Amino acid sequence: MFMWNRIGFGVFVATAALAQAQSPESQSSIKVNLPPDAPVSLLSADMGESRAAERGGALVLHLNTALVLRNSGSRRIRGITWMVQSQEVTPGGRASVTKASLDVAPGETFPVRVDLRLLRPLTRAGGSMVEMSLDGVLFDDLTFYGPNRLDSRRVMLAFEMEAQRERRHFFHVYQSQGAEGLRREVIASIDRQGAPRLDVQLARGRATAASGEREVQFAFLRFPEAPVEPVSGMAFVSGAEARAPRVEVSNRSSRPVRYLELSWLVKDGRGHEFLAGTVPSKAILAPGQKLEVLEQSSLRFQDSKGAPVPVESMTGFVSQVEFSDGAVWIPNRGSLTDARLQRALAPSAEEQRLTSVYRKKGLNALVDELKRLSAR
Amino acid sequence: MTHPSREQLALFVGRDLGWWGNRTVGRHVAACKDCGPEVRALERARAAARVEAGGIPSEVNWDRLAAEMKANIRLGVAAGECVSLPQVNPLAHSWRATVALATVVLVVVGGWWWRGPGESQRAAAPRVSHDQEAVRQEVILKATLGGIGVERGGLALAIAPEKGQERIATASTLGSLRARYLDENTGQVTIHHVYVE
Repeated sequence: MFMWNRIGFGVFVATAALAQAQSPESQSSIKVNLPPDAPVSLLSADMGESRAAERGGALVLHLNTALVLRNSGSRRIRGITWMVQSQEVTPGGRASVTKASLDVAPGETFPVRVDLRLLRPLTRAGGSMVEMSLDGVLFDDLTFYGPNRLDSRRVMLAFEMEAQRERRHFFHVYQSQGAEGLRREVIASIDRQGAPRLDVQLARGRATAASGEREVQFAFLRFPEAPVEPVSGMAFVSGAEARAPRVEVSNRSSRPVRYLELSWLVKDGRGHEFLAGTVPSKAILAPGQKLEVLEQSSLRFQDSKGAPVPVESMTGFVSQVEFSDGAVWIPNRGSLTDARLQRALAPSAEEQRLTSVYRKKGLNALVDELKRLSAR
Repeated sequence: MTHPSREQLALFVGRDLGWWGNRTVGRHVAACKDCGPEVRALERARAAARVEAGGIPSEVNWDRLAAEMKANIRLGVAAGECVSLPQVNPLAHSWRATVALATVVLVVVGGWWWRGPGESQRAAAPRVSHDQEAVRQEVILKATLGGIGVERGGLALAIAPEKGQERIATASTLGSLRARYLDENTGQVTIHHVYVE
């Protein structure tokens, strides 16, 4: 059957090529925008498995793009973000792909896959279908290159800080409790990773209240070292939907804040608590000042099988702060050991990666990995 | 405890290990808190792959797109657009049209026979869903088995994970949805975002 699929795809490519030759409508295109001074260069771009499918009155395009990039700069690359836009398909909508946890030395190559699906009417105007632009590169000294239109500097920097925090934690456990202590810690983490997660859908553009809607107040977890403190907050809740969250926060640090993020936990009727999303603000918040964060989005929650998850209560905590000088704060590992947070939060990507090293290669490989990374 | 390899788990999900293999691995998976979630993730990936599979070929010339993309990078956008212009030989029209038409008929009939009417009905389902969204005129960011995406008025842009990777998704009320994936083989972490402006 596999061979038949391959033959079928071969026929499709031949057919599409011939049909295209007949059609004046051949302006479909993907543009890759790479600034001339970018610290990466593109070696190849392959679209080998891309295909199109007609569904009713629409065309579904599967664009499977594999870029091979080279680090053409002089510093090691830790992360890279590409912005993906399709004005024709989703006016106002865009996407991005970030490769984090990289360690690419100058001159080395690395792949970036971008698999997109576009749904558009069969009849359409000409013009570019998809544009891919480099939004940023994070280096090992935590400096950044790029236009940063998607705030990718902060995203990658927070990710790298989180990764360093997890590596320090597991290495500390190894040093203080030995290999068996590390094994216990890893197994506890794997156990938490099996916890059910919530699927969430975000809607913009509807401001009307749903029937049976009620006001639900936030409860807050407060971290002593957090530069920003939540004061009060509420959202309108109806069944499995929460909308228009409103949170008051106070900057208790001595530095102005330009971005803050409050993580939002919801509890269902059975007492299960999930991470629902975040309530961020990009307003400038001076030291000692208070700010009301208000967003008009609606969030709808469902479990992994698609069943709605009705919201009973909500909890928030400050999970990220960016100061006006570009420094980023994230909670320390001690703050996150709260039993409720341990149950509700997914482990960080780095924690997941380290436990995966244990599962696939064993304890010694994990110890070697921690030693290698801590020596860096 | 010795765990089955990831390859064995993948074969188990497809029930391709044979009677004894399926039974042995099945007993292990039922009792193992590490392998259970992995098998469920593989089952979800398998279900997603089934939904994604198939499709009727259409007008797009992927070789041309790839060539155009490379030209865009090396020569600039204008040159890339030149590359995208159809290279039509008028003398070749008649026989190419015949061959193309015959191939389309072959593919459509073959595809219908291969997939059966049930699959065709399922393929039509998304149109109904998108029409409903168009009526609402909302911008929707959503996480599905196939990744995360943005929808508006029956149009959509979605970004999909590499095969077999489990997603952890979170929404930001500022107007974005984020999904995180870990490739256990390479240790690489990929973060996808979709945004509403």
